[in-house]
Amino acid sequence: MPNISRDEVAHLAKLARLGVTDEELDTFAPQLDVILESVAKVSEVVGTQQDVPPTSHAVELTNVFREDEVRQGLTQEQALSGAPAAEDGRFRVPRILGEEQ
Amino acid sequence: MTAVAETLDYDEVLDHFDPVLGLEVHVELNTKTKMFCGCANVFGGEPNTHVCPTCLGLPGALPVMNARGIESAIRIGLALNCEIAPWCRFARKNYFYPDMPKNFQTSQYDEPIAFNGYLDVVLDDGEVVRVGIERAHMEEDTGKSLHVGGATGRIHGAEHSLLDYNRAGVPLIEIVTKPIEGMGHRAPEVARAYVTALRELMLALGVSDVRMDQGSMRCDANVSLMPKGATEFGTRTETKNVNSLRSVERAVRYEMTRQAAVLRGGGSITQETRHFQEADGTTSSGRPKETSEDYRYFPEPDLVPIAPSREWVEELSGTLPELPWQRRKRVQQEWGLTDEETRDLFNTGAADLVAATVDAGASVSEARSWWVQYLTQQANTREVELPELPITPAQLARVIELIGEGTLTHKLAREVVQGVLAGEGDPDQVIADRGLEVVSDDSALLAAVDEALAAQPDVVDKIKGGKVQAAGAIVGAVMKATKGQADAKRVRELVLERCQ
Amino acid sequence: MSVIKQTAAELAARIHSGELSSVDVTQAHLERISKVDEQLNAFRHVDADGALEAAAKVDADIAAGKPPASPLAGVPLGLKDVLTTQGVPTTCGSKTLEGWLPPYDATVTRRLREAGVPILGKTNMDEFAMGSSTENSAYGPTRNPWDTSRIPGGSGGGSSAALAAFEAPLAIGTDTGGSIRQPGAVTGTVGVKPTYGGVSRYGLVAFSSSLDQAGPCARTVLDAALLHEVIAGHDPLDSTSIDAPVPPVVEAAKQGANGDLTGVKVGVVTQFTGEGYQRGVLDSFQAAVEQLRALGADVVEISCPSFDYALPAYYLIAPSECSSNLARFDAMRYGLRIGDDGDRSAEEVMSLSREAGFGPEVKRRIMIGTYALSSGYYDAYYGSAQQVRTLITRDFAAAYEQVDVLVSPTTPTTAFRIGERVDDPMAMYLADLCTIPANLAGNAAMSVPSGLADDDGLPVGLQIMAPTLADDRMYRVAAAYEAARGPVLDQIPEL
Ligand SMILES: [Zn+2]
Repeated sequence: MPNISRDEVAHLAKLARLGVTDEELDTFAPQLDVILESVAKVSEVVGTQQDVPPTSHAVELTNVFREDEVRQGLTQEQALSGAPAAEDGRFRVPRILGEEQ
Repeated sequence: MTAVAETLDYDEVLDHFDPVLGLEVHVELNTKTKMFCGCANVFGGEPNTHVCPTCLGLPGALPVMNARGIESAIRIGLALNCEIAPWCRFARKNYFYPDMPKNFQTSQYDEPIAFNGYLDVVLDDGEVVRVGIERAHMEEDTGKSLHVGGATGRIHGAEHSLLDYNRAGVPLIEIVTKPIEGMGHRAPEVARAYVTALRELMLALGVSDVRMDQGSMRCDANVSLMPKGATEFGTRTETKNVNSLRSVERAVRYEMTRQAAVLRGGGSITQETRHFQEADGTTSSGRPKETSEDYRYFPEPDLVPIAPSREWVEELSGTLPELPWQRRKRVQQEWGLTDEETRDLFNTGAADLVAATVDAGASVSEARSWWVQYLTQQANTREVELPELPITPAQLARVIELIGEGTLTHKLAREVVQGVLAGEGDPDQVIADRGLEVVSDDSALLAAVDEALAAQPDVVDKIKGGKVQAAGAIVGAVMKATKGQADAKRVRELVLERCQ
Repeated sequence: MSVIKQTAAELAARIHSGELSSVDVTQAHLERISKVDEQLNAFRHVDADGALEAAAKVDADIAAGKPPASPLAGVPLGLKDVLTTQGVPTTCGSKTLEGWLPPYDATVTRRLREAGVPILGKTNMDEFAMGSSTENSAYGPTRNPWDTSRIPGGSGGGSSAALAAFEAPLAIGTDTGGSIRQPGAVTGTVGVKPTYGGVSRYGLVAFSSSLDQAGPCARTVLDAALLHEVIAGHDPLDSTSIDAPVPPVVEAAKQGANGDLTGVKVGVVTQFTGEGYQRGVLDSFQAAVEQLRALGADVVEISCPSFDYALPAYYLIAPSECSSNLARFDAMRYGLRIGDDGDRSAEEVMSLSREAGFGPEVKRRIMIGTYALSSGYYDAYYGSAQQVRTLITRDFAAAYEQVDVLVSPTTPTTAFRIGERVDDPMAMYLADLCTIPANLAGNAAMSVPSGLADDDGLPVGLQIMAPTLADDRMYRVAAAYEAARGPVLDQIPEL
């Protein structure tokens, strides 16, 4: 099924907001191809078995809730302590191109 | 490109097309804390002061579900006559956006907590329409961005943006209708009535402040047209930023006329997000997306599944308060209203305000007449919702009390209310400042009465001759002389006394 | 015997009796670090002040006659750099977090502080715990103290190397597909992956949330058990944390040390032998199995056919979750920001920063995960992998109906040479072949030294696996085996 082209790798990188150089595309494309080829094995085994529900969690727990009670969080100073840039108590970021969703 | 009219005449739209609506309403829950962390869920506040490692998306931090949030979601589902999922999960909706700290939104995807319900909606003329509910699911809100630089403080042309994550992680319920078809020309009205009914429902449940102006209730309207007789839905647009009940109706109506113009002009509708412009009631195209987003949903591994037991759901069902339609019936009986009066009371959104005014001491008929008539007019003129008028039920009750005491005439009372609406303070303050108190000092009145009697001796004769109704002319003259501040009833008494 | 060569249990006893001070013990390890770590690069950051301060507090308490805060109070430790430490750098081996000072402690960190365990510093690791050699650290590889031209395993190579080099008597690792056990095996130390949900993940910077589990690393089984009980237990801040008593692992380790395994049923996983395994590793494993039999264990062969699909399933699930978990490193709120020149957009700055901040293995996995979760591929890749997970869990359940524990080699080969597999991701991934199934099923598993391979003289690990919340079973078997086998680390060459 796989057969990852350079273009597809570039598309994946874009979806994942990863800048990649041309050089990296050349390296990644064959590597991803090999990896995906190998992991595609999973659909073989499942295809032969009926009634196999997916497992999303290793431990079967349900209904883990907390009470609706306020808990001390961070101060504004702590919140912004790691910020690459801050202004007026807010995180400062470059202009945003896309629309809100 | 040939020039075509931007919109088609509304009646003409209906000659050719059937509208189909889909409404997505986001309701912010009023839990004490956020959905997945213990930060306070409050509107506003100093930026980034209601944040913690979890809602800031700091490396290593984990979410834990707010029990109250789940409860509210189930109660909403029950009130919307939905089935409650016996087992469901949160998923991650992956996309990059700076107002979203983790670059994924924790949201329910194909396993909503409530699904397949309905809401009965009463239209202005009393007709009841059943709107199908596709699903109600839980998700979290994003942070808020402030766009700095550029002309208007909007996102386009901004130089940079400033982010505040106080709102990030606030619990949201998204309620999605099934396609609303067959409404014809009433489609815009149905949309408004539905959102109004939903808002009332949330208030009755006490799960949200549902303040559209503060964004705690937000509506996205999907609108499409299909040619009359067709069975397949047309291409839809999604209009966002519809921030008042009136706007819901206006936005739907505008989209219908705009799409009709495009289709009649031989064009086709682009599936896109559009933004509603409050100012002129139009919608405008959002930036087209480069590619359709692939959100790469998958079950949130940091949260475990929710499996509400039947007992729990039944227990929550028992906590449902009187719901709006039940209340309507009860109020009609208790206050002895006609169908029409009941409809007006609820359609104007005055029921709560009237009840509060009655609680503050006013009579039902006075309170109802003020809110449903005079104050509703005032709200319309100001283009705000009735509850947003800057007058409280307690203030109105005081005005009504003063009328009862004879301190104010109805005419003066309206002036007092205007003063309150203008922000001049409480009724007593307005009366004092504007000098509006009814002239009830008999000596002052008598002077005016005598003056009027002297000016119209012929009328005096008539009264003395037994034509009591002729007194009206004298009363009128006195009222005119006192600039309406006299108590007409008292003036009449004095006139008759003098003429004995 | 010099202080640094003693076990944590011995050190604790001497500190609590007042014979040794925690400050002296901590100082001795800090000196060892400054003497040898230049050759190893096991520590990313050394927090001498913080460690000595915590040690002084323990000494003061003991002098004041207060009971020790925990059985390990005063015994210092190396903490994997993937667990947050308030005010102390936490890089996860990534350039993107260089200089980041977390404003909060992980639950594991908090429990260690409360237990009076001085934290010597943060240990090196593969970037965001992705790797099997610690070569993927942005801050240079860690070297194996047995042979510094070789890898110490990964991702937690720093923690295991620090133990083998006597830089710390205890360490914390995290294990997503073998990152505690495989480094333990190739450095001749003990590494435990507790039952998923046994130790809180709050403050553990997520690689793959449904697989990650923090656990103890030590030089002896008893030391690991003591540390296990310090860090384990329910945490309301982690929804996947199990609200049940911590399995009695210390008691089990003590019981096991008497060397009697009569009545214990041990299953040898048939899938994890044969082709692709180093001869020296297989020989060591065979000897270990014989040893268990000699101790009275009832040994049988168990087939778990779906384990053959564990590796591919893992390399879909882990990258998928990581592609989402690592999305938050976008240069907006913390971390490295590149290219913010006032003209570039947030989107461009995100891409540039992530390009500069992440190494090639992280990028590969993010892209694989992005691919596997895409709408057209979800069912075939992620969906199927989740089904394989079910099959593996069923195989385990069936096996544990027949036996108490399962055993296998921890890793197919001994430590390979630095650089040997960096350009061949698939070869690198094979190092986790035997360790992955336990992560997929959420079960407990550990590696205990099984001596040196007779072909290359390097350490080999025996993997012991146990059902969910039966961590004590494997400790008992491990302690018995350890007692019979004798120490391995006394053969390590001097650095
Ligand atoms: Zn928070």
